[in-house]
Amino acid sequence: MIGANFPAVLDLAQRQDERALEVLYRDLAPAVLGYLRAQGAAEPEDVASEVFISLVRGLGSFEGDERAFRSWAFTIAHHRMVDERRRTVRRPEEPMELPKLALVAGGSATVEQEVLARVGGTQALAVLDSLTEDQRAVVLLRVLMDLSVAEVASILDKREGAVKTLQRRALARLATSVSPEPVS
Amino acid sequence: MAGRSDYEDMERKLTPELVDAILDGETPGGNPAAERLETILADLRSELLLDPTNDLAHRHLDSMAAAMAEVAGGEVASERQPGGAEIPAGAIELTRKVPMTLERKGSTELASSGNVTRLERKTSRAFPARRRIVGAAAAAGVLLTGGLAAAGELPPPAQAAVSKVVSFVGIHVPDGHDHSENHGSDVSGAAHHQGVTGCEKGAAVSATASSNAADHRANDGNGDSCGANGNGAGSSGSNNGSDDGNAGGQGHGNSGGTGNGYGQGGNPAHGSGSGQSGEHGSGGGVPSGGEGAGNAEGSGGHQGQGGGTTGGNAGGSGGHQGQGAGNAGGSGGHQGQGGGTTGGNAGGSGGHQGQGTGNVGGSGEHQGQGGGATGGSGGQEGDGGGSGSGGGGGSTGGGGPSGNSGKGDPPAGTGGKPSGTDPGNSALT
Repeated sequence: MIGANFPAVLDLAQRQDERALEVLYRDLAPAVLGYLRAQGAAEPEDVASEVFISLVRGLGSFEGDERAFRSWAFTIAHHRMVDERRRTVRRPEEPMELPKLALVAGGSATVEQEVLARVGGTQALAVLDSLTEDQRAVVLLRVLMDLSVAEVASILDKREGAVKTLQRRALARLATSVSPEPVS
Repeated sequence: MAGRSDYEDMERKLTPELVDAILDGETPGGNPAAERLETILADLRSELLLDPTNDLAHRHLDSMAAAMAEVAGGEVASERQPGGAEIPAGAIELTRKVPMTLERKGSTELASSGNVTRLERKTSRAFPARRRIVGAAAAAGVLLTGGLAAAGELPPPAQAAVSKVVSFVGIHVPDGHDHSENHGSDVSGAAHHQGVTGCEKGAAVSATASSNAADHRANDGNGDSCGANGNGAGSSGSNNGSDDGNAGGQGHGNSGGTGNGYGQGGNPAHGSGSGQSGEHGSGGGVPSGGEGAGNAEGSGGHQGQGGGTTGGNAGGSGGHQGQGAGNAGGSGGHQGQGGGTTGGNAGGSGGHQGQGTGNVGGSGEHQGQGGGATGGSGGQEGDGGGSGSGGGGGSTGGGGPSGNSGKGDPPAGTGGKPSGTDPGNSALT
């Protein structure tokens, strides 16, 4: 979070100050990339680039505080992720061979490390596979961006009650998939 | 099924307050499952919230800067142009909006959509229209020219050119030089006409002789009244003349106002000035005071003179003691003079005591002189050769002032005066 300086940063960014734009990028990029990676985007970096380009194009007309700004940014990210998912469904990609992955890694990391980097994590991400898309989206938005139920509902275009149900079931799934111990 | 029941139990126990606490990282103690969930979510945060690499960040930031420049109206895009040339926004817009192939097809869908900026069609019809106009004008010109040419009303050079061109396709068009085939006899007839005498007759002969010269004459001569301002220009020996031989001064009179009549061999009785003979009249005009181009000069009768001096074309034939001069030379009769002077080409042939001059030379016969720039042949007692523009002097007269290379026999008569500005065309016998 940028905090109290956000209005000034936003104002500069809207006046095409590149440094202010970078501040906004540095603040949002980890969550956006993480969200896209956890959602299984095939090319999260490219999708993230589209997200930030769209954000810049709409920056001049944005009005609101930092929470609204983050909510708006993730609305864009979610929509781009959905678009990318649809493209992937229409044009499924063949799995990349390991030697190619090594080339992608540029020799600076092992193939295993690169695979893990591309899928975005290890065990924590693996547990997300047990969730439905909506459940995963709710959890990620709530966890990664600290968005409220109302904001998540707005992003996912759902009612708040539906979001609450989704998050409760998602947590229950995670709890049961990780630990057989019942919640007391 | 244990798994399903566990999940259902877990779902029941996750109250909204507990969910909020877990998500907020404020899980109450004593609930291991809740604590485990909190741990899982914390791991998710730590594993997903990673700063981008510098390369990735720079790539993204470059894309954002480009997008920002695009929003701002292409400032960055223009900076990236080699040399910093700024692309007009309208040009970019046109390039983007107009699909040329569709535009060429005259697509109405695009035009009606309002998203296409129409390009004006400048070339498809404008040039053919101009071509049609030019073609129509050219055709009209050809027809008009052809009509005038057929009527022989074009200016002589144009008439000759048209005549030459159409002659290749078998069409006869007057060439502007179609003169009487009996020009000489016409002149002769005028010279022998008994109705007039003296100056008037000379003028008549001159006019007849010069009738074809009008085509080529740049302007009329500055002739004065008949004989009044005649200049003596050489003389001719009566011995060589006819009965009306030139005893003395001969007229350099003005004949007819169509040029300075180059009267030669006038009757002495006519006094100075006229000199234009009756039977011995001369034909030929020398526009502009003797240096001009007397063209297509005709032939004089007895002792007549045909021809101009400088640049006289077509020459003429003199009768007895006549003089023919011109580019095409001429033939003088007895004591005549053939040939041009300065620009006399092709020479001429003088008869007895005649003089032939011209650039290509001429041939004089008895006592004649042939001369010219490239030489000529003299006849008996004559001189041949000579060079220069002056041509040769008369056989019995004195050479003209410009007749540097001319040589003449001793005057047989009393004349022999230089002819002034008329080089080499000075004297007859």
